[in-house]
Amino acid sequence: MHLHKYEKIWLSFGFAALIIFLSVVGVSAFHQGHAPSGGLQKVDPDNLEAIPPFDKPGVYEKEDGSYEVIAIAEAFGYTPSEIQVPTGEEVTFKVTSKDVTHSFSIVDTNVNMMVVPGHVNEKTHTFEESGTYLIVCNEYCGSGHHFMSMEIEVVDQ
Amino acid sequence: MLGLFGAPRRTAYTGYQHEDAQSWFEGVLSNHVTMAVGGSILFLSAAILVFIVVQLTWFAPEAEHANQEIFPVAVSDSGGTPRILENWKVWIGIALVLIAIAYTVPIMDMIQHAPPGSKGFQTW
Amino acid sequence: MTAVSIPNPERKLALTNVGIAYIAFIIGTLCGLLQVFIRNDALQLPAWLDYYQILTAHGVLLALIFTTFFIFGFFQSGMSKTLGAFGPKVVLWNWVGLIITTIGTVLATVMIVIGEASVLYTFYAPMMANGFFYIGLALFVIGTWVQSFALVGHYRVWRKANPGEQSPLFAFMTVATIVLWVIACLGVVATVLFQFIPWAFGWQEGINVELSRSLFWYFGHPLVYFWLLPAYIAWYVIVPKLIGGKVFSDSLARLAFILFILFSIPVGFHHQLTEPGIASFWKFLQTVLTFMVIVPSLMTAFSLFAVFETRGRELGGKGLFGWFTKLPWKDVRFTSIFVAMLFFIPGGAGGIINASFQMNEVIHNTLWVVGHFHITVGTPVAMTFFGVTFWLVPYLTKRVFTKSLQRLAFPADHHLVDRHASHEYSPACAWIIRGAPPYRLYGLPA
Repeated sequence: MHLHKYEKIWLSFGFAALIIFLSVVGVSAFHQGHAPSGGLQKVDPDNLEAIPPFDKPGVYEKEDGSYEVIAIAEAFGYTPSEIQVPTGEEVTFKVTSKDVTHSFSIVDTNVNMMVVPGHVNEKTHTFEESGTYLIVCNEYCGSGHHFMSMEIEVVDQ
Repeated sequence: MLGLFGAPRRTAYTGYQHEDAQSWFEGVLSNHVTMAVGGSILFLSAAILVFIVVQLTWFAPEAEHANQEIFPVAVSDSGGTPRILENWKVWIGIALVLIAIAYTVPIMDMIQHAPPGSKGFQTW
Repeated sequence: MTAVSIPNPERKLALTNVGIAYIAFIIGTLCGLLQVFIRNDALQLPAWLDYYQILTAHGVLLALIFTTFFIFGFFQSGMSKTLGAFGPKVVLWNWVGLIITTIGTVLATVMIVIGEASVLYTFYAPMMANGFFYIGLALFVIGTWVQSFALVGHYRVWRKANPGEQSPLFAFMTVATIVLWVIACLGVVATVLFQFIPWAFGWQEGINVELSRSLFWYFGHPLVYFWLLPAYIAWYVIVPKLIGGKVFSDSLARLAFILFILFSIPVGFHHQLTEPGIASFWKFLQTVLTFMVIVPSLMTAFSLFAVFETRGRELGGKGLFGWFTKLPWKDVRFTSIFVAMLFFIPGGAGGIINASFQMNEVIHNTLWVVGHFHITVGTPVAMTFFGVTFWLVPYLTKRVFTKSLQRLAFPADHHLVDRHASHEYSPACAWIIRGAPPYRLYGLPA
């Protein structure tokens, strides 16, 4: 098959860029731990009240000083509807859904996770700046979708 | 473009009472007025286009042999084209293998470790 | 192939497809217009209609119905043109397929209109629409399969009659697109038939949500290529003819289409990067495969501009860019497609961001994504189809695309592009103007 000279240059350039780019993405994901949110834990969406930790949604301080936020999404709101966390500490969000698929997206941060019933999604984030952050649902979940939100108060310790 | 600032998609009119949310629609390029003007022009153009299609179907003058529109297919010299490119069995085979590699394990995992099934919801 | 036009049965077939496409198109754009006014709060809908219902209709009608019907109309005329007249069986099965597709469309549309299926066109479980909505979807896909197999049958007849010969490029590309479509639809057929229908009719109690999402996206991504490849056919095969040139390289064109088949299907997880239930390794593997699609895309871009330059120089263009001025800018059939190509460049670049694993979290499900598919599908694909319409319809109806109609076509075209682009998508300007913190662009942790 005949390849034009310029086309060879163009394609090799494309290939090289691709390989470099993918390596950067791969190393950053697996070596430095910057993978997107995810989680393999399963729960029964009809019976969340009986399953720890979702029987008691809220903010918990762990022994190592980091925080854990347990939240439940359901049409059209979140439980708890307002929380408070400190700046500078790792906060792990564990979220699941009681009914349809939602999302849990904290505006102005990289926390943006799908909330799928039956699954627990996890993401760890450290807030550097204090203030009130808005959390919205950005997966269509029904007629009240655009009212679905909650707030996080981030305070300096 | 508002996506970069986190404006959610698929929303009806949104009244989040939060300053971050209100700033989404205050820009010069992105306020609700430009959106409405844009949308209207867009619809008008679409209507013109459909008008043209209707004209071409029923009302435009019938073509003589000389000005009949052609189906423009460019000449393509397939003299140097390797035969294997048209061997569909090979390519479909490779495609299926790639799909199997990428999907078999995670799909099996989803089926075997499925959470309790969800019942249906009508939330609209 | 001495006759200018194709035989009547094919003309009727193709015209019916194109006609239904444009009916869906006008209703779909009307819904789009309404959406803008609702977001604007300027319009209150009557109680029986709501925003999400219209949004579902907009998505289904434009993205699915308009494109699919138009594509089959285009394929049927092109296959008849390049491979010769259809036999009676091919014509018959094409009609059967077309009718099944239409019944499915009508059924699904009715369910949306009566408010039984405001689930958007991604119909994510466990939101449950009326069971007949899913049956409509299934019929739609099966109908397209029947038309696909009829066209492949026509191709096989040609291959048998011309042993050892390469098929014409148009026919080859059509078959490639159909192969992609049939393989891709396996996913959606599986989820609709085995998950949604038994569940919506109450034969089965629960649904495995994550599985249904994965099967949907197994289909959802190549679906985009099913829209795109016919546009590429126009770019590779039709555009060179319009400007009076030749196809740059037959073998590269064919290779590009094959690579699109290989690398557009096993990549659906990149739509699910922020979801639980899939191990990171598999998400990453599919991300890598996703990026391989850049290779045939670069090949396509190269070939197209090579054709332009070659032809421009033949027409006497001098210097590094002199050829550029020699292209037939006054021909709306060419110009609309050229503009479509330009839009595809930022569209593709935006796509790279979307698929970039960590970077995805920044934009997942935001208006950025809406911008992305409007600028890739909404603009280039639709613009290309409009460009095709301008000659395909008069070709099929044997009428003349008159001077006055051509003049009308220009503003229609340009406004469609300009407005679509500026009101939905100018991420580059936006973040420069408003100074988004750079770390968010590179997906680094905040």
